[in-house]
Amino acid sequence: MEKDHRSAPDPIVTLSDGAEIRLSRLWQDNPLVLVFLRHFG
Amino acid sequence: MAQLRRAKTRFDQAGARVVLVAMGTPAESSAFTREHAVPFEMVCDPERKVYQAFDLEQMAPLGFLSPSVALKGVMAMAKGHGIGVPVGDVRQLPGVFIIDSKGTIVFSHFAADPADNPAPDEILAALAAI
Repeated sequence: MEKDHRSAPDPIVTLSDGAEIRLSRLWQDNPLVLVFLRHFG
Repeated sequence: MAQLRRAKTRFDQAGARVVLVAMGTPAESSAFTREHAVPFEMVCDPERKVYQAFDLEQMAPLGFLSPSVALKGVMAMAKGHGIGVPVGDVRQLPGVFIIDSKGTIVFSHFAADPADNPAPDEILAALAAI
């Protein structure tokens, strides 16, 4: 992994339970490992 | 995915929150997490807006023809990963970002091909460095 220093984007996102939140809610309390998957299947 | 799942306890011990981003709808993502016993939260991004916000690119149209991608596909099938109906854009490349509590991306990995994912050990090492 490469070092980075950019500010993370902070869009409104939808969770799998249908809830909509600001992405920043996910890194407020702990470091966040955000894993973008390739397609399912 | 299997490697990440097996490493969940280590991520918990490192104090990190692991969240997946996928191109399915909430219904598709819920089905996927149930079928594969995924222990992580999931962000649903069927329009790939979050992928684009993080500058994750798509593979070139002929990228699937590269020998390395084809070989990885064959190896995955040999391990029992079947080919189903894809959900999401098959050209979308994955990636991993570690974001600290101030909202700074401290580490990033932009995949060169769909199977190019950092191992959990590599992610954990990067977490230990922040």
